[in-house]
Amino acid sequence: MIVKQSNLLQLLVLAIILIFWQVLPAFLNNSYLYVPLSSVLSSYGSLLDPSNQYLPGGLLASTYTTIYELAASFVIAATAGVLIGFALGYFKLIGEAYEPMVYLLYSIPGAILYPIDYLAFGTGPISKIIIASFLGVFPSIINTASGVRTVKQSYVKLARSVGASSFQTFWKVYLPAIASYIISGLRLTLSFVFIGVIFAELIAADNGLGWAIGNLQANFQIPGMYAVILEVIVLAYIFLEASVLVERAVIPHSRH
Amino acid sequence: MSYPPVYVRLSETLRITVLAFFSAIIIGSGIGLIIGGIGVLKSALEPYVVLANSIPRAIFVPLFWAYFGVGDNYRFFFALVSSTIPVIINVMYALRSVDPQLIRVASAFGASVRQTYSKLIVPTIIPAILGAARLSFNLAFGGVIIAEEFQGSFGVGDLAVNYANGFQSSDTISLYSLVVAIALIAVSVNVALLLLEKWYLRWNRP
Repeated sequence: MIVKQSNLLQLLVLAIILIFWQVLPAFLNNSYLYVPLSSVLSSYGSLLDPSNQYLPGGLLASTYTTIYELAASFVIAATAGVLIGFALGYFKLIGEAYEPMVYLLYSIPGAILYPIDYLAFGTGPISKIIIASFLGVFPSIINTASGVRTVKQSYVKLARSVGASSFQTFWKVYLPAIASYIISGLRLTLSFVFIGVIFAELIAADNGLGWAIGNLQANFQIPGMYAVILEVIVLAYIFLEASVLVERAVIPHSRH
Repeated sequence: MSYPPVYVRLSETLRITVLAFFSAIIIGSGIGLIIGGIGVLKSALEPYVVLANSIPRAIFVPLFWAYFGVGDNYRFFFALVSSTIPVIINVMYALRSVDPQLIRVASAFGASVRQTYSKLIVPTIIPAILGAARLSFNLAFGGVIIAEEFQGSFGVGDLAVNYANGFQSSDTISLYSLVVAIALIAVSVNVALLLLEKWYLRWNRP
């Protein structure tokens, strides 16, 4: 196996970060805030315990809640985003009429909408799924719409002239042409949905990883807070790598 | 609990947002130039910058709260960190798109380092900074509001949560009007930044 030089450099950076995290807190005069890596890692033991008094249900229950909310919002945002984006790109009139509106809605900070959301739908998973789907739908809309506009009309005419049905035209002409646009939109959608779920859990929730971070901090469980933050970063890394793999599998000749 | 008037809170939130936004543009361009310009740093740090962009930034709000506590620093630094990353990424990738042949031509004609920067590098990265500006502003604005919603401050995020927890119809009406006001501000800043970008790139229009 050939290890690239850049990969070695990247591992070196990671090693330096981890060593500093372990060593530096001993030299800083605040053992409450600056926690070495080893005690962060050892706090996973008590976090995983379902009877943890600061984290009812334990870390697995919070992780499950977040993943469930994430999956539901991703499915909703992806489906709605691709459908709306296709409509905006395919029908010229609809695109001209509503695309500016999409951009305007996109620029509203989701943070200010969330109080209305949890007022209406409570602090359970529903309000997270709604806000995260709303935040995540825009990248898919915008990418799909711009993808549909790149499809050459001569291809569509050719397909029609050899007697393709509109379903066949969609399946054989549009989809292969816009697949790369859809995939890169979906990658952004996943990232936006994750952001939405975590921030909503942080502000008002009764379970989930964002809620766990806020709750542990409020109860002065700083090593536990770092441990959950680390878990979210690892999850973000897994999602990033997984989406790159999916992109490579679906589009073999992508620019990566 | 006595509330400061809404416009005082709004100006507080906007003051921190604008400060964080401009600092993010300056610091982000600086870091982007350093990482993008030095080959070793780029290959060592690029995946971490990309990962930092996809981490839900909200997880760091309690951390910043624990570090800085009550006051402006808490909101400012959180908004700064979350809005710097897109600027770094755009500048880093824009540097890659500078044609190496142009740099060779410039040095062949005896251009100094300063001239190379002012004639070649800066014109390439300014559109990249302008492209990141809207996203960066939205992240700064959203970041300040999230920080305010999480723990007590005197901005609009805090006020919105207070209204939502008030359970009175007058509070709900105030909440809606606050949201509309914030949305209008966000939309008008975005339109202004878009116009700025179009004006700067007017020579490039097809």
